Amino acid sequence: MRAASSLLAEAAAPAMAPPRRRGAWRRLLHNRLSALGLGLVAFFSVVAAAGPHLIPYSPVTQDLERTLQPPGAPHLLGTDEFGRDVLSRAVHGARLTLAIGLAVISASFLIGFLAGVGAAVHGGVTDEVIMRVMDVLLALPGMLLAIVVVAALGPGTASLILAMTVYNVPQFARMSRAAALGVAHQSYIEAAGALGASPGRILFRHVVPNCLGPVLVFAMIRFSLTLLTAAGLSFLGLGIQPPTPEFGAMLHASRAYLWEAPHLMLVYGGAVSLMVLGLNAMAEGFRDVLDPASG
Amino acid sequence: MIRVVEFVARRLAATILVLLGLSLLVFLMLRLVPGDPIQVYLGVEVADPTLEQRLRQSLGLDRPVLVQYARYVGRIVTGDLGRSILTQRRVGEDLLPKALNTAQLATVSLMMAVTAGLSLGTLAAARRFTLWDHVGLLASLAGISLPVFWIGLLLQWTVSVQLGLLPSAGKGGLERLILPALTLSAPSVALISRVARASMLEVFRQDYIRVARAKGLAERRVMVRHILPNGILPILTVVGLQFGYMLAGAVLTETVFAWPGLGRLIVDAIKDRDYPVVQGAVLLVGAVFVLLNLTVDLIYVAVDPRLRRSAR
Amino acid sequence: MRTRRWTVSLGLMTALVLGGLVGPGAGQTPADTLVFVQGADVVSFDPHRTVELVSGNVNDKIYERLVVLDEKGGVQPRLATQWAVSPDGRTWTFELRRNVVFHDGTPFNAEAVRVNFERMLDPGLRLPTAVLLGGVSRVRAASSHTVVLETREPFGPLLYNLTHYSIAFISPRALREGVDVARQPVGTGPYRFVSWIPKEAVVLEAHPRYWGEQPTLRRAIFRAVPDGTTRTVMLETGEADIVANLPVQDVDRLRRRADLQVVVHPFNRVVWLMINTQRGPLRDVRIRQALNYAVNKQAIARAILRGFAEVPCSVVARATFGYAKSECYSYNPSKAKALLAEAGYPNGFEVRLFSTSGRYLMDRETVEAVQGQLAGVGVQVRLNLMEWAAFLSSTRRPPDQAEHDLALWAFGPATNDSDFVLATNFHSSAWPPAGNNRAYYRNEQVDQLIMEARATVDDSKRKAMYGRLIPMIMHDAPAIFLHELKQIYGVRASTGGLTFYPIEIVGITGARKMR
Repeated sequence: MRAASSLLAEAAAPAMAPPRRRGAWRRLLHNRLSALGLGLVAFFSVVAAAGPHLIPYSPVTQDLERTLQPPGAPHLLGTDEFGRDVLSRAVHGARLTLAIGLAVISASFLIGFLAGVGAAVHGGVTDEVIMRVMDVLLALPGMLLAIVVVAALGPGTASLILAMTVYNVPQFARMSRAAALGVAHQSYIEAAGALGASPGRILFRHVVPNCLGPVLVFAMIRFSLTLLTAAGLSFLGLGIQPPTPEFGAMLHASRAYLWEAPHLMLVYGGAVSLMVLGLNAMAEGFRDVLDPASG
Repeated sequence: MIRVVEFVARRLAATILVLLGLSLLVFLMLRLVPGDPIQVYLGVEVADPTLEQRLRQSLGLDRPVLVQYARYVGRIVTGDLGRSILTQRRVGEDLLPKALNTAQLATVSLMMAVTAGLSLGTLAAARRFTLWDHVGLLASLAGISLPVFWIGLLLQWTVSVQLGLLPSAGKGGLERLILPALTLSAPSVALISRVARASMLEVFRQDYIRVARAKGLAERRVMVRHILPNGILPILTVVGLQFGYMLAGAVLTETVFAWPGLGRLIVDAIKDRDYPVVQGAVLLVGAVFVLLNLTVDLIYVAVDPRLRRSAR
Repeated sequence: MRTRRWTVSLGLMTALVLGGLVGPGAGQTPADTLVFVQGADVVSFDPHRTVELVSGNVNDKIYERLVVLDEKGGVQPRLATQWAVSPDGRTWTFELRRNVVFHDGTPFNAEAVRVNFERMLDPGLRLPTAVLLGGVSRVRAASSHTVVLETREPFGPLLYNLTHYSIAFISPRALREGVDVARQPVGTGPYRFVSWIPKEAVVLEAHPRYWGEQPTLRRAIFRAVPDGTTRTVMLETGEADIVANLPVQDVDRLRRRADLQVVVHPFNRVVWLMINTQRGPLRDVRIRQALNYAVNKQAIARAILRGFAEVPCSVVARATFGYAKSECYSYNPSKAKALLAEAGYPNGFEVRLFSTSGRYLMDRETVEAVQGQLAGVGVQVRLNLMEWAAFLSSTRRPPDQAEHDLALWAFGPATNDSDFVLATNFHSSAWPPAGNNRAYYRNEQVDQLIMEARATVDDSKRKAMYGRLIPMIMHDAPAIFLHELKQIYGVRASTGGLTFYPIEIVGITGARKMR
């Protein structure tokens, strides 16, 4: 504990450096981390947007005579267990996977953040009701949720998004509530209240900006975990319907071929890792840059 | 003190409502979903409507759903969770050992995740923008770049097959706990370390920290009195959430390592539409979540005295 | 500086904890114990309560039946030493083996058999085994070791049905005393029950008073490991002596290892894509034949099942009693297109295919390949992969509510008799929801022949009738006949003496281990 607290004390030192005034964008690009993140995210966005038009192979056309081919010509990244072009599947998969992740996280962020911050700021009965509903949602098994949604909407991308959103909302709510609680009782907020600022103004001018950081970082990690949740659903036989290329399902399928065709795992796993890295580096970069105290 | 007791009492009362709501929700969801426990039990070889109807009657599955639910609640009150449709074993009897297995895995895994996550996160915050910070990011992200079944397979292959150090799967002594616990902790390490870094940096910039320093307070005192309590809430929340999910049963880890825990029990029961087992397990998980969240909320109050006012 | 010391000590601690545990390692199983790893756990030790295979494989060691299948799939005596059937085909007399005792010491005799049959047939107990005993009306003990079974009508498949692992005998004393046999099984088999931790392991030990040859290995442990890749790992580390359902992708790699062997054995499970014969273009037999020609079964068997499947030329598997070779529907896309055009669908149409994922060997991969191949003749397939329970109920609706055009369906009769396959899957009385005829197939001549064969107790005559019946069904093509699976086991090279059957049961009494 001694060692830990002195370590924490040291942690404060850099933050004491006086802020240098620079444009946010310049700082963003100057920060190696965020530059890396931005670069990767830009790369994947371009790939997702333009890639499908550049690759000559379809992601779904099979060739059972040429399955599990290693990278080379004519299939640059080889073929999968059905002889489909891996590069094409990866590129189409990136598009769908990013879209799903984005939809799930923005929806759960929006709902969860509003619910959590609302609960923290209102307190009392509102807080109780919101958070107890979130407790119920937390305890629902994800798989049951997925089956129910599929039963209601039929299998497909929409069901996947809805199920994973419901799964994520209570986490965002708890997270945002905790972050908001940390600032809601600070003296400057109470001072603002005493000076007659409206609750809405207090909320959006003071509470939200001061608790957004951890929630944002949390959101990016959840974004990454969503890619893996999709893989987990495929593992349980509830993933996306074939032959749609989606990274979760492809990661799951590639596991059986680790020894015969390691390129499948390297390509899909590598792509997911880079996506995860890019998104998180970008989020943390943003956080650092937007932080007025950052140097 | 009295306020805290009141707060706990109120929350415990709310727990009953939460569990009632949860059980009704799960009850309805299970019956809304396609699939019939009797068909699963009889399998592909026996398809006989008369036998199916008789089985359904004997289990009370032919009654209206709300009647079934009322009877279920009636039995729950007396402590009877019913019997599995598939195995006819008592639900409570199977639930408890599996929950203990899960608790064992979750505890070890959480300890690993908190140790690694806090170290990485604090280090990254303290040595911000240095190599340490970047290494911390990469190390924690490694845990969420690959799905659990990949990490598990890679660990099994290197540690068990190649090095012959630890057994690959199944339940047993501590040596069978390490690989699954490691696998299960991977995403939590990422979450904890990143949130720890972010929330500590969030605190560093607050005015009162500057004020405290300007007052000439010793750094350690600033840390213990101001930074830690203020930055800890999000970290605590993440730890609580992750622990909750681990306690609810990590089905992928349990499947890959053939660990007989709650996650597999629930997922198998959902697959088999074994209603009483799913319902009993979800009730247990619900109670765990509620108590865990209550504990986390109590710790909030303990570390952050100002919150006591809000615990009216 | 302090930071570094802190990190270093943490690292040291971790190393110490890990180091202390290195001792046991992965290791090997004990010399007197067989560790058998299966994909699932036992559901019940009451053989009359469960007709499912994983339980069957374990109960097969604890309990015995009157007759059993041999390695080729024929009938062999077990607790019955001989039998005879009356000329009218309605009375079967079984002579029972003497000096057989249950694990609790109760003698096995005609009375024990009678009590067990009475239990299986008791409607109040709602036991699924009753369905297998369809025609049996009365069972009586003619003498201490002679049992007579009477059937309402002559019932040809009776003997094969009696080989089913569910028609097994429980100690009458245990039943009388109300022992919960679902958890405390008491049989006459070579192994007796020791313990069961659900989803973990079943432990059995040799029954010292077994009438036959004593098991070589004193103990047998059955472990439930759902993930195939993990089962392979356990075989590689030596934690398992035999694993069932080895993933096909691992076979080549394991075959290169001297300490492991891969056992491939014929299986009587056939996989079909049932065609909903009551819907749209699929009502036309030419269309159904076209679908059969359009699917490249050879390529699927080779590329996806890695050769661990045979292309079927029959409704039933080669090992099944009554097998007759018929139309093979070899891959012929131009013929498929011609048939489609002839039937008025030159540009194809769209169908919905319902399938499970992960239930049968490479099922998802198979239907994905079918989807690709049918697209080649213009038939667009919309896949609907579902989990098992949802699949079972969504494909078991009355024909006017059916949603599937095609449904993946696999059947491996545990009795190894064609009657079981044809009557439950292709007789019109088995249309869902009454039964498993998910093709809603009806051919009155076929219906009649199935029932005639069933009423024939002379097995050579019965076989000849299936020889006429099977080509009729193949011609009507109520299904795309995809493949006949094989069983794949991974076994430690040091383990020998196992016996394999065309159903997923492995005999372990002769198992031995070399060091």
